[in-house]
Amino acid sequence: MIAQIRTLLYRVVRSKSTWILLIAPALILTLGFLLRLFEISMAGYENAIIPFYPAEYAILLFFASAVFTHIIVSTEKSDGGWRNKISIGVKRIYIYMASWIVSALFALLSTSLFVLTDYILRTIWGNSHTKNYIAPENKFIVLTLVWVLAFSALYTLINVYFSMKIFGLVVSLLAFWGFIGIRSLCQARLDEPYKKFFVNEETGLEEYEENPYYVTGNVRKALVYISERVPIVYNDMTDDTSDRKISKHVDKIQKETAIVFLLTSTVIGIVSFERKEIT
Amino acid sequence: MEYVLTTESLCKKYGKNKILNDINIKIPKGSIYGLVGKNGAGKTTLMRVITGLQAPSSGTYTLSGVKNTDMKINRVRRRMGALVETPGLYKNLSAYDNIKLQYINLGLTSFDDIPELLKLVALEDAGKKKAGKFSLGMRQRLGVALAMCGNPDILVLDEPINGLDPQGIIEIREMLLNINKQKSTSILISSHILDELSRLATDYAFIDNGRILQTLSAEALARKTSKAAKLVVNDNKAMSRVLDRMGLRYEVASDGSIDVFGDINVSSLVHEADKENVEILKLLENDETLEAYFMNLVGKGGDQE
Repeated sequence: MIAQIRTLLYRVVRSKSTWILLIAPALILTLGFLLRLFEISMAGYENAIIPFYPAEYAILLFFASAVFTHIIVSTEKSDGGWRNKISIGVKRIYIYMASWIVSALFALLSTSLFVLTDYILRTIWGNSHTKNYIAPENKFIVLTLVWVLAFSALYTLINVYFSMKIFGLVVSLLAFWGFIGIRSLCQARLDEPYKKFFVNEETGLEEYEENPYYVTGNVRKALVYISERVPIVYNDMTDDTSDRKISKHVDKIQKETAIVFLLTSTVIGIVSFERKEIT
Repeated sequence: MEYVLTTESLCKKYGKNKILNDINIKIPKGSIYGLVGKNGAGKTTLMRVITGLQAPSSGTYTLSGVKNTDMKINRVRRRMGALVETPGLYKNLSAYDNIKLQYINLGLTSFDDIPELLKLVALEDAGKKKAGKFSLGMRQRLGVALAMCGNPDILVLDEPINGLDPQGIIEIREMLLNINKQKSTSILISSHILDELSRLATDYAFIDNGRILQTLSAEALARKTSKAAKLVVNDNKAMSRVLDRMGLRYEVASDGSIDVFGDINVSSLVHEADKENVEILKLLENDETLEAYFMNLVGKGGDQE
């Protein structure tokens, strides 16, 4: 398997797309940060509070990983890499695992670069504008890394399974958004029973309305179960910045789910690839 | 006789379509085995199954004494080189890098003989040019070079001379003959250019609609296709005496006709036959190339005598 990883890395390192995808999330984070600085300077007064949430950009790591995995797996397929290897007796499980490991390495590197960029930006700017720079908590960074690794396993499975070009990439991205969508749907149903409110213009008092989407009982339990297990991305957290924290309980569940997700995708992927007819 | 590859009732189906139907071939060790068939006959599918790219629907094959169902089959494949359908080339890498990666896949640690391999397929001047920018002929040569990495004991080549110019065809032919002679490399080769195949192969299998129509050695094929006449006479025994007297090689076919080989002086034959009171009812000249032989075979559905 070491030989398979070596050959993949040899190719990947020589590809421009690899380097572009590696730095893209960190680069976009930096550009977003510079844009926010510009906005603050245009606000025209001291201590303008226009919050910047670098953690919102972490979602780009999933996109970069999807594109990278698609590129390495689809070129192995279309350029005949699989044919060259299988016909000389390289075990299919080694070929599959090498693809996932290289994809996971990429995920690790791009996340590390992202975190490093966040640290540099925070160091340069955070001290003087701490109210504006809302640094993500370490738990969130670790969770993002774990989920990017888990998704790289899913992306490998998808791209190995689907033979049509670009289709694997489309399905990978849809799969990611699908999981995020599930979380959003759950969140909408898990709101407070009297969340909706309005301010009475005459009295100036806040008045509450019943939330028509509020659920209880077993349905609520099921939704809570699901929402604790689908990947958390920063934008899924509440608007109230004081609540942008992940409880220990949810943190533990998320990590366990990500590991199960990773292992399940890998096992299904290996079995699928063992049976795949290579043309 | 030792066989490097045998197939036992090998079948391959896609849904209800039987692409390979009860294939039984035996490739002698050290032979150049030509697989002859039309487009869609099943040549490439057979090669895909043998090289492990696809699993057979039923039947088995044995590679260097190891059955395909045995766990050791992957180890045996390390001694195989293959070019199936189109060459598997990484388009963003040079010829050298493509070969280097195949060496790594094979577990080879020294890359010293890569330049020699490139020279063998006339790609020594390819330099840093990316394989994606190669001409068809260059891609084909690189594909052959990749198949030859690690000096395999058996080469499986699917139309290796496709896209090559006449010079290239000669070079590849001579290279294959060379490695077969010097290293006893067994070669399974398919080609549409039957004339070229006839200069290479020591054994043949004719395949059509997924079935093997006939297998025979090059010598047997030469006997069948060399210049000959087909005689239909009223007395085969008397005619045999005439032909023996004239020193001509002949075979009595199952339909009662006589195939005569070599150069025939027709007037002498008629004169000699007349002496024995043999009446020649039909005399047909027969001068088959491999192509004509194959077309006749396919037309008759197999087992041409």
